[in-house]
Amino acid sequence: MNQSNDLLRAKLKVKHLASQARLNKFLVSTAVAGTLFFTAPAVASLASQPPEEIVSDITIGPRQKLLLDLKATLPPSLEILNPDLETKISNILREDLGIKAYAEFENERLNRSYGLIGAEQHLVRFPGDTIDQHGQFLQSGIAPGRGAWGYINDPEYEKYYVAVQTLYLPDWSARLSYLRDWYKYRKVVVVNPVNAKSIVAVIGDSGPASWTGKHFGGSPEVMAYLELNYGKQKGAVILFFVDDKNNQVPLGPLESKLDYD
Amino acid sequence: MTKNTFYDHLLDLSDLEKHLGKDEELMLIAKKTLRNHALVSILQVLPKDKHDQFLQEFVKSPHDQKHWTWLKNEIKDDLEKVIKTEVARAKKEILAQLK
Repeated sequence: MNQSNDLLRAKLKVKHLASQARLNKFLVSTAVAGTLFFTAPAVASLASQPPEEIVSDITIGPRQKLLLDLKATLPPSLEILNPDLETKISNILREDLGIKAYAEFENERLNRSYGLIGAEQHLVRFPGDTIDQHGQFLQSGIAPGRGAWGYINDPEYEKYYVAVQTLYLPDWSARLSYLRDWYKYRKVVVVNPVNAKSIVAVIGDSGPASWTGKHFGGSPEVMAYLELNYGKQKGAVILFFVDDKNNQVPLGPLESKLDYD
Repeated sequence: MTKNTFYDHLLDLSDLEKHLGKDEELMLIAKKTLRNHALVSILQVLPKDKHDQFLQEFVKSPHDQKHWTWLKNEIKDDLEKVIKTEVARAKKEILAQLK
């Protein structure tokens, strides 16, 4: 043995962590794969086991913890959340994702914080913008006109945008000038409770219409990440405003726990 | 205290021991790493709809040899060979890292 034990230990620990990550990833995708998680939660049983060594090797990862926490908190049907539940979910998001997110923020709230999201098209970013200039998810198409806030100039915003039903807010008309600015590109976190995939996006458009039965819309990139871009291209999500006064929370998939002021 | 698993006999650590010596902690980390890889290899060949049942039973009694009987009914592949192949691959990777 030529190397010091400390160096060997460090190298081995790296390999061990990698193997744990591989296993955890596998367990997450297992829980996501179908109804497994909700019918007979293997991960829940893992979480409740005594801390034996072998069990600690397959402890749940952050996404699985979020899955379990949301499963224990969300109502079985897609109903309007009461403030207590919304606070519980904020606490879960803070604990599991490190993100400060609220259903009501700066005294503003949408009619729903938990509802159905449906697939939207790409948005035009500048005059003459065409679908073939959007790189990915070209089959989603591009909206015929500008979004609720005009051209969405920032390509990152266009990539990670959601539509929310500002038009149905009870005070939308009365407070239009204030609310229009408040909602424009407001940062939100969207969580699919079926697989705990979470993504940070901006509010980039208004909609969908109530007759669709949906409450939110998601850009092609948002829907793909949430794994809601197949079949009927819709599903239940949590949508909370992000408290990010210093603009430290990046847009896009939340793959690891955040740490910010 | 580490709990043994029903597939521990497939984790031949002799070649790793040559590099790690008799240091029990290092050998334990290596063993746990190989256990993780072996478990992944089982899950990779076990039908997804059986994962839940298997994991629940496995966590209750990781060492229990009854898992072999159950798994062999569910898996078409030669499971011992699958595990050995994955363990050998993982060991090769670890050894490359240790050199």
